[in-house]
Amino acid sequence: MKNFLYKLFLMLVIVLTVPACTDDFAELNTNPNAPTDVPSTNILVSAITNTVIRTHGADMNMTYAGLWAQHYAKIQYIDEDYYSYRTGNMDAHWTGLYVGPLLDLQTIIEKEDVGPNMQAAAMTMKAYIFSVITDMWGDIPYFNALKGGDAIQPVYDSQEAIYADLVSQLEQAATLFSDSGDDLGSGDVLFGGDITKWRKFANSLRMRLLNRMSGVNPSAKATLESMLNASVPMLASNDDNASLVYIGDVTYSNPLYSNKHFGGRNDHAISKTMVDLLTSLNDPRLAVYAEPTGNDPAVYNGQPNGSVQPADFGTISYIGAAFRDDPESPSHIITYAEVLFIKAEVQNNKQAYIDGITAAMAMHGVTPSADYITAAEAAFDADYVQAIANQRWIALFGNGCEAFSEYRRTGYPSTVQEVPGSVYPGKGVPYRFAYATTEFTTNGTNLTAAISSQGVDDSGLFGAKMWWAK
Amino acid sequence: MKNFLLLVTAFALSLSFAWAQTTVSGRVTDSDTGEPLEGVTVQVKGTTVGIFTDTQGKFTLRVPENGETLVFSFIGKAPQEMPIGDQTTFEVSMSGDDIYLQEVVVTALGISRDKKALGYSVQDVKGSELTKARDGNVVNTLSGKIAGVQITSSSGNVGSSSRVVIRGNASISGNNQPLFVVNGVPIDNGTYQGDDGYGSVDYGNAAMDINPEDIESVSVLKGPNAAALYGSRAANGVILITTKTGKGTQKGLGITYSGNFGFSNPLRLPDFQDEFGQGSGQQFNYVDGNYGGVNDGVDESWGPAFDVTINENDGIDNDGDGQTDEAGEGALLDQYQGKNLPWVAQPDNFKDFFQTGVSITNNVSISAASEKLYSRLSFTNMDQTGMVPNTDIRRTSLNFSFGAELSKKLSTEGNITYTQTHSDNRPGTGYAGDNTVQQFIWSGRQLDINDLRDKWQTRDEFGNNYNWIHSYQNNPFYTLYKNVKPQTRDRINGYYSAKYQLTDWLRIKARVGNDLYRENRKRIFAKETKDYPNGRFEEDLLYVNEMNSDVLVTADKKFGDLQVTVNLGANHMTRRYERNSVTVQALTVPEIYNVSNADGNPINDVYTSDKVINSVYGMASLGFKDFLYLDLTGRNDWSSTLPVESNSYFYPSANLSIVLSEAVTMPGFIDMLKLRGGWAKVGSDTDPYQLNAVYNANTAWGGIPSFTLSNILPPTALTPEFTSSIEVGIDARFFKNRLGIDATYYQAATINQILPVDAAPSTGYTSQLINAGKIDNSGVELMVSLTPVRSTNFSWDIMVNFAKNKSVVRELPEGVDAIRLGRYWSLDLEAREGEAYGNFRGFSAKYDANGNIILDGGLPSREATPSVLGTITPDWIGGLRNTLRYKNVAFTFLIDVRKGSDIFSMTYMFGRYAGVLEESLEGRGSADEVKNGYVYEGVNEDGSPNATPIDAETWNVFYYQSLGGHDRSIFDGSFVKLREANLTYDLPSSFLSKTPFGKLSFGAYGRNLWLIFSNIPHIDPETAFGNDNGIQGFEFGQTPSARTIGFTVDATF
Repeated sequence: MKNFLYKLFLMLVIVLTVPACTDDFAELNTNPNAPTDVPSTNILVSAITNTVIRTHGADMNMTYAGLWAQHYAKIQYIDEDYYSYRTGNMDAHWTGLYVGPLLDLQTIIEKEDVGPNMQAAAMTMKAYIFSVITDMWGDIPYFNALKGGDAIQPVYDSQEAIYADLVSQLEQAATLFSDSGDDLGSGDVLFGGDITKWRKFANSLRMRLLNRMSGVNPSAKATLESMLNASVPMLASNDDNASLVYIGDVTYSNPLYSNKHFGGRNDHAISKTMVDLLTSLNDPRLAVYAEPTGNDPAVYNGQPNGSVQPADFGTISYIGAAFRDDPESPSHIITYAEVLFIKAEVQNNKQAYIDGITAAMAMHGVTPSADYITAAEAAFDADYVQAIANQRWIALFGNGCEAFSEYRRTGYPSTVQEVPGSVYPGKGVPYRFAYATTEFTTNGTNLTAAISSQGVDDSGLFGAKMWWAK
Repeated sequence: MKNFLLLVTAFALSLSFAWAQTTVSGRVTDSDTGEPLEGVTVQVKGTTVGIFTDTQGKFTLRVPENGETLVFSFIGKAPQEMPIGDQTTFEVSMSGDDIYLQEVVVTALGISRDKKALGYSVQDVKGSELTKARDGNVVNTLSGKIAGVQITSSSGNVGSSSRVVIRGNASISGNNQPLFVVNGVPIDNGTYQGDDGYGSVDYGNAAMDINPEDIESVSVLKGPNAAALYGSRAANGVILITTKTGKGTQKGLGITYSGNFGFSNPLRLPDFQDEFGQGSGQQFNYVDGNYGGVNDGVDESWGPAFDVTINENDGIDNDGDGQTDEAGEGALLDQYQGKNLPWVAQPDNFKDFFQTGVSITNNVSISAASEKLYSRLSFTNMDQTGMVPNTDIRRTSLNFSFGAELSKKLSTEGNITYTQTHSDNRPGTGYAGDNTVQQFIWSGRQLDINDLRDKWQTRDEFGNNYNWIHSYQNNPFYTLYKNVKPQTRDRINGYYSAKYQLTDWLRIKARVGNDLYRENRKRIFAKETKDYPNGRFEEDLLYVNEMNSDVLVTADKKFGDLQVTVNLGANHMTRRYERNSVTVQALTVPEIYNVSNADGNPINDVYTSDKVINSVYGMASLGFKDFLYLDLTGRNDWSSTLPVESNSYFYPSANLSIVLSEAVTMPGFIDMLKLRGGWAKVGSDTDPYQLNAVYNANTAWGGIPSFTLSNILPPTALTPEFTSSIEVGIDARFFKNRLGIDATYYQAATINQILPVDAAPSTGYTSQLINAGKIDNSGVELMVSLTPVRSTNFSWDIMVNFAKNKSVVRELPEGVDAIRLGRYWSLDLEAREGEAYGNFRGFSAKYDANGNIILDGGLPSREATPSVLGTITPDWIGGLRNTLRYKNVAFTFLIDVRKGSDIFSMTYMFGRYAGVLEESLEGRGSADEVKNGYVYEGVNEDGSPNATPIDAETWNVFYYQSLGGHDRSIFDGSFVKLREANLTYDLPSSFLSKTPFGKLSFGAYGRNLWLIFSNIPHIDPETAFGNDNGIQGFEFGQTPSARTIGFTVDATF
C-alpha cells in the first residue's frame, strides 16, 4: 500500500509540474507537414503552370473570354453565352491569378538570394499575369498589391499607369537576363532553361503591350518602331514560342482535354463565327479547329453564340480534336505569329502579315495555298488593320483572353457581334470581366472608387471600355 | 486480487433461479401531517418491481424471492429503505426533507453535486429516455428534451451527422459544437470530411459511436458558467455522459437484454408534376441519351405532355420528326426502354427508389456486484440498412466497467469501450452525380425506376451502361452498387482512476483517460462513371488520439454552519491527429481499387498534427446552512497552438445559489424556491500550426516538385479568445412537486475571436488569421414540469421546454462588414455585423413597394447589389413531452418545435429550373399556354401589369437560378414535429414470478412520425449538408429524413 501511495504521490508531482513545461511548445507547434522555404525553381513551376492552366483553361478561356470573343459557343448551360456570368467564376479567375501565381512570383522576386535570371523570369511571368488581369478588368490593384498585411486593402491603379510600369518591368527583365547567369533549374517548364528564349519572350510581351496601348498612347507606337528597327531580340520562329506543353497525366493535361475527358463535360462547340470565317477564307485550319458534325462527316457547322441549345447535337461541330482530345496539346502565351502580326500592324508590312499567317498555320501542320495568299494579300490591301486583326483572331484560337482583348481593341472580326439572347440587349459584346465579389466585401471602398472612376455599370460588364480601347 | 478473482468467478457462475415470492402490503403517511401519501413509489430494490400508493396511501406488492429491501420514494420526501425479511406489512412515515434538495447531478470533472448548490442551469436526461425511440445517432434522441439545445440531423441517410448547438452559435470560426465528455473524459466528435455541398460523403459525427444502451444519464452543461472547468472547448457547452457501471444494482448477478427493431421510410417527398416528361421546348425523342436524339441529353422535364391530346393540339413537333404531330402520333415516342413506347408519367418513381430501412439492435449486459466490487459488461450490436438501396451501417460495442473498494481508503474504477462502426457503403451527398437523389430533381418524369433497378447491370445498344440519360448521370443503382463508399472505424476509449482518502476530509484522485480511433474511408468510382470515365478512388486513413491525465485533490470540511470544499487539480491533454490520403485519379484495370492499379501517379497526402494543453484549476465551494452556496473556480491553460508570448491564459467563474425555501418559511404550496446567478469566463485557443506561412505541395509536374505559398496570411500576434457569460435563474417546485418551473436568463459574449477573415485576393492572400469580432448571445430558457394526475393506477406528466436565443454579431474586424461562412450558388452564409449569426446574403428579385415582382420583358430581374435575405438562427425552439401511465402501460409522445430559421432550398430552385415540381405546371396548363406562352403575374418597371407572355420553360429556367433572385428559393424553416411517440407495457410481476424474468417489457415507438406544420414546400426543413458551420441552412438533394416505426423488448433476469 505504501508503494502505491508513493506512486500516486509521484504521479501527482509529475502532473502538477507538467504545466510549467511549455519549453517545447514552439517546436511542437511547428508544422511538420509543409516546408517554410523551398527552392525558387519549384515555386516557378507552380506559378507558370497554374497561370497557364487558368488563362487558357476551361473557365476563364473557354467559358468566358474565348466564348465572348466567339471562338467557342456553348451548347449546354448557355448562361455565359447570354453574358449571364456566374459571380463565383469571376471570383475564381481573379483570385486564382492574384493568390497563388502572382504571390509566388512576388516571393521569388523578394528572395534575398535570388539570381538575376530567376528574378527576371519571375518579373516576366508576373508582368504577363498582370497584363491579363488588367486587360480583363481594367483598373486593378497593382502597385500596392501582393503586400499582404502591409497593404491589406490595396488601392486600384489606373490601367494607363499599370501599362507604363509593365512595359518598364519587361524592359528591365530583358536586360537582367544573362546567358552566363544562374540556372533556372527544372522548374522552367516554358523554355527548359534557355535564357535567350526568355529574353525574347520578355521583349515580345513588351511589344504586345505597347501595341495594345498604341491607339491611346502615340509614344508607344514610336517605341515599337524603334524596337523593330533596333532588332531587339524577339520570338523568331515557332520554336521560340512561349508555350506550355502539358505532361498529359491526370493532373496536368491540356485543360480543354481535362474538362472533357476527366471532367466529363462537353458543353462547348466551336462557334459559328469561327467556322464561317474559316470557311469563307477556305482556311485549312477549319479541319484542325473544328470537328465535322456527328450526323454528316462532310459538314462543318458552328454553333451560333447565345442561341438556344441545339435539339440534336449531331448537327453541330465540336471543338477540334487537336484542342479537345489531345492531353499534351500545348497552350501558347505568345507566339512567333503574333509578333509578326504586331510588326505588320506597326509597319503596315504585308510580308510580315503573310509570314504571320504562314507561321500560325505551321503550328498546326498546314500551309496556306497560293490562292489563300492571294486572297489574304487582297484583304490586306483593302484594309490592313482589319486583315491583320482577323488573322490574329484566328491564330489566337485557344488563347481566349488575348482574342477577347484584341477584339475589344480593334473591333474585328466584324462578325463578332452581340449575341441574340443577350441578357443585356443592345449593349453589345461585354467590355470587361465583372469585379470579384470578394473584393467588394474585403476591399470595397477602393473597388467602389475604381468602378465609379471608370464608369462601370451595374451589370459589371459594360459602361466603361478598357483604357486602350477608347 | 482476491476480490478480482471473485468477480471473475461470479461472471462464470451459471444462473440459478428460484421463483417463489411473497406478498407485502402497507400504508405510507406524511410525517408532518399524518395524512396518507398518494403516489409514493414503492419498489423492490435492485429490480423494476414496484407500484404507487393509492389515495389512502396503501399498497400491495409481490416481492420476488431475491428481493431484500423495499425502497419508498416520493418527490419532496426523503427516500426510505426497509429491509423485508419476514415482514409482510409496513407502516411508513415519510418526512419533510425534500428529495429535490437531494437531487444529485454530475457536473464538471465528473464531480457529483447537489443540484441545489449549483448557481447555473444543468439539465439531465436518463439513459432509458434515449433508447425508447432509438436512433442510430444518439445525439438525435436529445432533440426536444433539453431547453436551449438545438439538434439538426443532416439527412435521412444511415449514420448521417447531426449538429448540436447550445444557446446559439458563439464563435465565427469555431465549430460551435459542444464538448462531449464520457465518464469525465473528453471524446472526439469530429467529422474530418470537409463536407461541402458540391459532393461529398457524410461520414457522421464521431460522437455517434456512443452506444445509447450503455448510457446511464446525460447532463447538459449549457454555458460557460457550468463548464468553465473544462477549459477551452467548453465555451459551447458540454454534453456529459455517464455510462452504466453496475454500481448500486442488485447484489449478485444481473442480466439484461434489450432489443430494438426499427423500420424507416421517407417522411416527406417532393410534390412532383406528372404531366410533362423529359425534354425541352415540348420536344423529345431518344436515340442515345446524350443529345444524339431530340433533347435526349436534357435532364429536365420540359418535354412533351403525357396527355397526348395536348401534344396533338399544341402545334409542336413533339418527337422531332420534322412535322407537327398528327392525331395518334403524340402517343408514342422513342424512349430509353425502346422505340415507339407510350409516353407515361411515373408518379411514384422517387418513392419506389427507396426501400424500407431496417435497424436491428441487440444488447446484452451482465452486471455483478458485491459489497466492495461492481462490474458490468455490455455487448451491443446495431445493424442498420438505409432507405437508399445498398447503404448500411453496423456498430458493435463492447463496454466493460468496474469499480472496487480496495481498502477503506483506496478505491479504483475504470471503463473501457471498444466500438467498431462499419459501413459497406455510405451514399454520396450534395450537388454531385454521386448523390443518386439528385437525378430525381434533374430528371425526366417518365423515368422508370423499377426498370433501371432491374437492368442496371446491362448495356444499351451503344455499349453504355443502361440508363435513362447519358449526358450527366449514371444509373442510380450503378452508382450505389459500383461506386461504393465504405468506412470502418475502430475505437477504444475509457479511463482508469484511483482515489485515496488521505484523512477524513482530504482525498486525492488520479485519472487517465484516452480516446483513440483509427478509421478507414474509401470512395470508389468505377470506370465508365460519368464524372470519372477512367475510374478513380480516394482512400483516407485517419488516426485520432486524445489523452487526458488529471490529478485532483479534494478537501472537504465543515466549520460550524459552513461547509467548505476545495478542489485543486491539474490536467495534461495531448491530442494527435493523422491523416493519410491517397487519390488514384485513373485506374489501369477496372474494379481493382488498389494503389498498385493506378494509371499515372497517385496523389499521396500525409498530414499530422499535435497539440498539447496543460492546465491547473481549482474550485472552492462554500455552503452555508444548506441554503447559501458559493462556487468559485479558476483555470489556467497553456496551449501549444498560441504564440509563446501569449500561450498562458487564466479564466475564472463565480456562481451563487440561494435556496430561499430553506432560509425562510414559505407558504405550504411552495415546496422549493431557489435563486441562482453567476458570472464566468472561458478562454479558447486555436488549431495547431496557424502561426507560420508554409509552402503547400502541388502535384509534381512530371516529376518536378511544385510548391505554392499558403494563401492564409499568418497572424502577427495572436492571443486567446474569450467567452464571458452571466446567467441568473430560478428553480421552483409547487404543490407537492406537481408543478416545477426552472427559468434561466443568460447573456454571453465571445470576444477577441480567432478568425480567418477573408482578405482581398489582391493582397496575394485569401484570408488572414486575426483576433477580432464579438458575438453576443442572450436568451431565456424555461422548463416546466406538470403532473396533472398522479394516482395509483394512472399518472400524467407533462414536460415543456422552451428556449429563445438572440444572437447578434456586434463587432467585426476593422473594415470588414461580414465574414463568409459558406457560399452556394453565389448565396453567402455570413456573420454580418448587426445581424444574427448565420444570415443569408444574396441577390433578391426586384419588387415594387407593394411586393409585386417587377418584370422586364415578361421575365424577372434581380437587384444589382446583394442584400440580407434571411437567417439560419431560429427565433425559438421548444419541446413538449407528455407521459401517460396506466398501471403497467406507459405512453409518451414528444412534440418538437422550431420557430424561424431559413432554408435555401436548391431542391426547389433546381426543381423549378428542371420543371419537375408541381409549381412548374403554372404556364403549361393548356395546349394554348404551351404553344403561345403564359402571362406571369408581375408588374412592369412603370407599374403596369405584365402583359408579355413567356413560355413556362424560359420563365422557370431564368427565374430559378441565381439570376432570378435567391429569395425565391429561401423559405422559413419553422416546423412542428411529432418527434417521438412510444408505448411500453411492463408485464405484471404476478405473471413474471412464474418465469425466469425479473422484468419484461414490450414497446412500440415512432420517430419523426409526423411533420405537423412547416412553411417550406417539398422537403423536411430539418436538414443540412452536414454538421459544419458553413453548410447550415443549405439544402439540395439530401436523402429525405426518415420516419421510423419500431418495437422494443427489454428483459432482466
